[in-house]
Amino acid sequence: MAHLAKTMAAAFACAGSLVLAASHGGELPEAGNGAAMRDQPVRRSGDSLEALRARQAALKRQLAQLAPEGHYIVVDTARNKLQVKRRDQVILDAVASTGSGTILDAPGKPGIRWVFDTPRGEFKVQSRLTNPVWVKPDWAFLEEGLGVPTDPAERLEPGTLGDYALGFGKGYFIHGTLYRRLLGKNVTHGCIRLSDEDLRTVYQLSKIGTSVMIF
Amino acid sequence: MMRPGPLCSLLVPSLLTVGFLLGSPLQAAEPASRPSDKDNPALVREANRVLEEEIKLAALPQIYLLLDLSARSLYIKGRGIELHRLEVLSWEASGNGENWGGAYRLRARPLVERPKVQPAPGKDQNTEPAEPINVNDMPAEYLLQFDPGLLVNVGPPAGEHPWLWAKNRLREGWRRLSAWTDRSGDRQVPLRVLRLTLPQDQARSLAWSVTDGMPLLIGTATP
Repeated sequence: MAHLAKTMAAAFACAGSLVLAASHGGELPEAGNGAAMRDQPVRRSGDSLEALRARQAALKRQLAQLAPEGHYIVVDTARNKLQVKRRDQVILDAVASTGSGTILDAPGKPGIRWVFDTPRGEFKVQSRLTNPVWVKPDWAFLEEGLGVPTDPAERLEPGTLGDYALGFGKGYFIHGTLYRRLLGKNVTHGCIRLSDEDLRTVYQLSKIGTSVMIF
Repeated sequence: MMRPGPLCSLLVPSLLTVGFLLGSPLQAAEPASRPSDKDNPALVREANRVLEEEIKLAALPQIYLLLDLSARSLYIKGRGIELHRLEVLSWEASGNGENWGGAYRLRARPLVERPKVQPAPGKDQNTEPAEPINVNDMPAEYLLQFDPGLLVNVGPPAGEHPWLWAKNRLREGWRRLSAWTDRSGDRQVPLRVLRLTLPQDQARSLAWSVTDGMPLLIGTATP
């Protein structure tokens, strides 16, 4: 029992967020901490060309300071690409799989619907897991035509998500896959899948708080 | 003497309206060449205005659009970083094509038909969905309604899909007419219209990437 509890604590639900009567999109609310600007507002000066140029330089510096420090992750859901970047330098350019955009209506429960989109916006890495265990959410059972189990242990499925998982909120993760042939396609339930090698690199380059920008 | 029937009396004004809407040019179009902004105080001031607005957008955890008409580029950005760039082939705008003001917010992204998953035994998370949607399922001709008062008409060159182009132009005309009617009651700010011609794949890519409430900034991007 204690072992089960420990396993449960290490496990997580992948893309398990329930969307009630969602319209299209299913985007999450803006994530992140809403950090304020790290610099003081630039003081207004005169309107001479020289003053305008000086102000422009100051504004550019201020904008540059808003960019993530260190590594950040960019996910292009249209082309199913994931990049790890540092400033303008691309550290990793990986093929990914993102949300299928399909919907699942809960059988016999009008108004309950899941939209399998990868959320767009800026998020932060909130958890970094090794040997993650998938806690199958309700939709995973309903999609298979099965009933939702009452015993939590029946939801655990180890080994399907690869060696690592990076959570970026609301049950969405960057994780591995058993089926590389689906990489590059919109096939997931909202999570972002990578190959084992790329996942390892992303795990090593990221930390809690790493920015994940998804468009 | 023959009198025009009711059908005829409706048809003629309708055809005239359609002809007007399809053919109506907007007042401002792109200049033949991009002016140098290094020594022009007005242009430097305008670039500074855009930077000020962008700093406000980039300070928040969000993805936003920056449309640089003079560079014919539409940037998808976050935290001031260029995430992706779309090519604008041409544009035209109502009004003088300048003074776009602050940020606009997209009301809703273009609709796409989403297939429903049919529950079936044997499906698991690594099974390919029967009909996932991808960027090629997105429309290439569509209207984006922004607040306050901006209608962006996106599409590929008219010659590629003349029927869709005409349909979209009619939709735009209808929106403009509706906005004009509402404005007569002082319920809305005047509607500005911006037509963007993008390569078909990039028009679809934009439709895929925009989200409800996404901010748009229009002005000169500063490298």
